[in-house]
Amino acid sequence: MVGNYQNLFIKNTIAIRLVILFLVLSFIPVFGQDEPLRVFMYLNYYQTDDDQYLETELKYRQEGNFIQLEGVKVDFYLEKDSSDIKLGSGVTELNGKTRLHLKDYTIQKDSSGFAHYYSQFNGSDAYKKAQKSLSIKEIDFSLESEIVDSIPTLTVKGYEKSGTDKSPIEDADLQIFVKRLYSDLPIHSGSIEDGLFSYEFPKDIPGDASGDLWIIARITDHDDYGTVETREKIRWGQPVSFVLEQKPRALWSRAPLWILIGFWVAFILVWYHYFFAISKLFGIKKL
Amino acid sequence: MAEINYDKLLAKFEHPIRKPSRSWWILMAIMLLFLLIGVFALIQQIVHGHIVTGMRDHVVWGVFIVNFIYFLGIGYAGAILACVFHLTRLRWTKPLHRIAELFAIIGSCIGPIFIFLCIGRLDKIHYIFTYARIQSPITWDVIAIVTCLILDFTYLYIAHIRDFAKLRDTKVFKLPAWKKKLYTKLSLGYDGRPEQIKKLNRAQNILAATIIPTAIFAYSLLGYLFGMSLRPGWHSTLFAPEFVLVSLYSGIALLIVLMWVYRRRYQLVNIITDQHFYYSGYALFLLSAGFGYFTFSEYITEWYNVSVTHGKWISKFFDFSEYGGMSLITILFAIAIPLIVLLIPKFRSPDSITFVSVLVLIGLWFKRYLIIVPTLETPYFPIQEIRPEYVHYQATWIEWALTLAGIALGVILLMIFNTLAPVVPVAEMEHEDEITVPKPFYHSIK
Amino acid sequence: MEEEKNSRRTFFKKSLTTGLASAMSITLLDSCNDLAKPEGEQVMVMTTDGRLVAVDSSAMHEVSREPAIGDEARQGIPGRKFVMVIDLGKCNNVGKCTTSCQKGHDLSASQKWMQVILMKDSQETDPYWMPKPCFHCDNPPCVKVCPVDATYKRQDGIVLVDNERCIGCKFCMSACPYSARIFNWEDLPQYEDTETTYSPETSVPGRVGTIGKCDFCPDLSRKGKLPHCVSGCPMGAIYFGDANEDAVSNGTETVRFKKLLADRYGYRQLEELGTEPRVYYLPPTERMFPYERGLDRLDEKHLELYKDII
Repeated sequence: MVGNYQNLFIKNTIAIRLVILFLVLSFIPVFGQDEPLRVFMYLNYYQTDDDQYLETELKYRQEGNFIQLEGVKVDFYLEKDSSDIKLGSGVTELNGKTRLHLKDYTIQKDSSGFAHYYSQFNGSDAYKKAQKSLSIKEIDFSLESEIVDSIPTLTVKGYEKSGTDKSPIEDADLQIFVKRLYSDLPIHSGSIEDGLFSYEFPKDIPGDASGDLWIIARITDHDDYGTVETREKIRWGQPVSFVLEQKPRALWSRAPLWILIGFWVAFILVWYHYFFAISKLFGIKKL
Repeated sequence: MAEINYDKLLAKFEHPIRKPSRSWWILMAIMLLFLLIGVFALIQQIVHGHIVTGMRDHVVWGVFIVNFIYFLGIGYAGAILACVFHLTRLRWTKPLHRIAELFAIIGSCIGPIFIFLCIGRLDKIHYIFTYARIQSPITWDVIAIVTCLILDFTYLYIAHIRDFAKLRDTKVFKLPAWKKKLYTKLSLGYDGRPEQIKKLNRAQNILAATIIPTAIFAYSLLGYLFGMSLRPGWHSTLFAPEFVLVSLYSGIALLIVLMWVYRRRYQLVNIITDQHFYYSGYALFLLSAGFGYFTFSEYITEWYNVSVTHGKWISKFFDFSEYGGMSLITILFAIAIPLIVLLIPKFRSPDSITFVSVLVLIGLWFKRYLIIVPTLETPYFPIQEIRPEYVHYQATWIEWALTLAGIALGVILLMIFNTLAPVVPVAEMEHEDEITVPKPFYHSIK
Repeated sequence: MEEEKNSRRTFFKKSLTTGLASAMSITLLDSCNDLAKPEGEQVMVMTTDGRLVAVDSSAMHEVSREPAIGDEARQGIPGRKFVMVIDLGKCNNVGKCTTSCQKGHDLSASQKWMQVILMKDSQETDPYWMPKPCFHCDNPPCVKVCPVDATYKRQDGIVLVDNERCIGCKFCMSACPYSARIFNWEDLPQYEDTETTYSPETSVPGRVGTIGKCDFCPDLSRKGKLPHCVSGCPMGAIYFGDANEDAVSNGTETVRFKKLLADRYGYRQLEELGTEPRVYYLPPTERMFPYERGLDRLDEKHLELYKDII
């Protein structure tokens, strides 16, 4: 069993590699001899409850369309007064993106609390060099739920961190989402002011069978903070019945009783008479 | 009928019972050739898949299902006719019993063959029984068809016992030893003792009374199968009764054609008389009027309304670039010409009635085609397809070859049955008094 | 059974690590000689709530992400009731839904489980392009008539075909008022694939002589991904989601399902037949393009199809 799968995968990866090799090679003669293409680089910062990462995306333009640049190496750096520190590097995936997780690093910040990152693509024969920088201030972002006068109320708190001090976020747009199967459903947009945002949670959002919901507060693409989110599982959803009722006369799985009875009555009647007739025939032989 | 010499009658069937004649062999060879072509076509279909037929994603069933309905209709009509003739003890029908019994069995054998040809995965056909879903009309149909087939075969056999006994004992012609032995086995030791007569009659009566409702219901199920779908042109409460009527209509027509053929072949002018043709002609007339009534009801009801998809469907029957021509053939062959010929005494003769019957048989085949194909070509959503064969159904040579092979197989089976027993139930006619209980109160034909 | 699970576990692990290996090889191809991975043996995986996180590869354990087979494929994904909403105002007959579906299900170019047709409801009304998948009816006429239980309705609302059970009688095709079903008329080379385990959730590999149709891609839903047609549509015309969650997504935006229907007058096709489809349509009220745009790329042969409409 395992051996089979192994074989399958070895074969597949070889095939995939060949395809990719072919694709890469097929680009080289077309663009290789011409001037290298300009590469568009994007750099974003993401912060979740248990993770922080930088994500970069590379694209190039071909016949007016942006195409994700896949399979190239990108280096991530942290800017410092004297010299820049290379944090690490990644290879872009199919979607032209690659990430660097920051959790294991001690990031040095400047006096106003900003960390200055940049990502760099060194370029190749086909593509030009590209660089993008980003300055991020880390924040404390949390979500609290409580029932105030029988109204479920969400409170989002946000503080800028600079050294050991904390100061409330002055003003930032944020959105409230609930987690859904494929993506997060936005249910409210507002802004956090003086470190606080509160929201009366609507009562008509379906949860799971017991009414549990993942609620997410998120600041998206903020100039100073990047994309920051926090999430919490709260029993504020409408419990949903998961049973799919059979529609009238749908006949999915069971035949209605009357069909069964009707069928067997007809069946038995016919075959009873048949065998009765046959028995008469045997009578002839015996005589 | 008393003046008939039954030994002389039996002697007429010396060929092919004792030994098939040369003409029998020639016809058999031709039919086998057709069958062989059919087998070749079948191999093509099995090897290359259903792509070799004209069936495609919209017209998923074509000529095969038309043949299925057609042959099954003939089969059930034969069964119903034979049993009704037997139970009602209409004395004049006696010489026709065997013919009806024969095409009953042939129709119910060949019909199902065509449904197998519609099935994409014959290797999994046993799933119909192992995973049977009683909610599916196909399951009902399968059970009903199998039941009917067994019942018909048994009835055919019971109706043959007297003749088998007569052939076993006959001195009219000398049968080969193996055949004599076969008849001895098959006749179950029947030699006309009163006890045996009583038992045989009981068995035949019970079976006949069982077959009639079973056959009617089995064929109605076929009507329900289409009627219960949501498609315009099929979703009709009229379908089951119409199916049964059309079945009987085609059955009578085939009966007349076979009467004519056998009358000529075996010189049975005194047995299958002109009067038989006239009487059958009356039945044909009634049924053609009934069929005309059903067709009119169908067309007028759908035409009067202007519902979009139904409208598209019904207008195809009046459009000569679509199915106008076929629709006209059906109306002429199965309604107009039969009514005119059978209504006017001057036109009536055994030959003309037979000719009309042939037309009816052709017309009713087209009727079944009109039931299946135009409906499937008229779905609710427009067919937007650049491959023309996916828009309009066109049967391929494979389908025609298999259709001809089906007919050839019918003829072959008929000819084989003819070598076993005479096409008129000689012994039954000879000992009519034994069967006709109560005594006939009316003596009709000469 | 336990053994099978184990093998599946290692299988999944392998798929990720070999994926990583191939990514490495690409780096080499790109003539970069130093490959610094600060996290060491970290592997990227998607969590159940749709986030990508880094996990140590030794900490990997089994996740049921493969298409279900057997009884599980007949039960459906627990707690889900899948729905599709198609915004007719956005469809431009690009045909990407059809082709990405074909790519995802290993179909040939003529097998259209998702088809875009040009509709014109009446003389004076404007034509519009209509993507037409299987409607996964709640009262499916096709399921009713199947003699061998090969096509069935699942608890998550999806109607699937088990090609291993299907005998190819085509009764379901003639029963379907939406012409959603396609027959596998010919034996195609991709049906020979013996390496992929057949699942009714993917219908791959296909089987000649049986029926195929849109399956709402439950195998992708198990991975938290949208069906091929949804993610393939460049216009974002197709929304897909779970009615229990009251949310549908077209890949770029996620909206409340009932509110979308209310705001945009959502309706279903041939409601009067009582089939209760699970696919809703939004009338082409807010058109992004005139319908003629959808004709631009077409050749003479295809234009001929619409001669009664345009």
